Amino acid sequence: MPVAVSVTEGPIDTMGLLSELSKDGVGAIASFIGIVRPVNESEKVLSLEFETWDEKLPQVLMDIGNKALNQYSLHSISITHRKGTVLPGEIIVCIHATSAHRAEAFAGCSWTIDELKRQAPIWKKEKTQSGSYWIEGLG
Amino acid sequence: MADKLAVRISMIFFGQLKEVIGAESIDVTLPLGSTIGDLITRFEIPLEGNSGIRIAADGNIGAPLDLVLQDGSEIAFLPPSSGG
Repeated sequence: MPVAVSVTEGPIDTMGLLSELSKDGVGAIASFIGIVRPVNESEKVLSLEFETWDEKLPQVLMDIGNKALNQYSLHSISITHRKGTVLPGEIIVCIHATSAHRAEAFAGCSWTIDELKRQAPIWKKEKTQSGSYWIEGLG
Repeated sequence: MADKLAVRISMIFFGQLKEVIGAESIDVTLPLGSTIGDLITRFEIPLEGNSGIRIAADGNIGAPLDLVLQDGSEIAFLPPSSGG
């Protein structure tokens, strides 16, 4: 399948996701893996809580993946995002983009994470020792 | 024939907006012909300025404020995304 998306409450197996992508005609794979920072703005992060619109999120991710596929001539793309509680050091999001040449893979992967941050119905709350805060914006 | 003079819709809220409104969802009955803008006014949803709040009508993100509400519709209010 050229576009694969998933949302999971458990750990993300980045290499497992990579192994599921077809390598036919592929000369490059670009990956983005986002993890929870242990410290944010000088404060220790205890966890991030990801709220998702479950009925809509897979479709939005699929739409983003299809656009990336067409705009950057990718062979395939895999997008996986966590929901629920994610601890410091754990993986939040994993994107693998494959193409014939590296330029398309890099550009497609970069565009996809930017678009996910803009469009995907996901909201995160940061839990710290001083309290819990909703995080807004594209950081 | 009161049911022809009114529409019953569901509103759902996410993220910080859920806490501002104080509910995950609200079912409401409105006069026939009411719009999303009427909902926003009635429930004082903080949409002004650069709130970045997006609205989805029956799953379609980007619904306009002048969209006339249909009976049984679900209107979702989405604060700015913060995934990744």
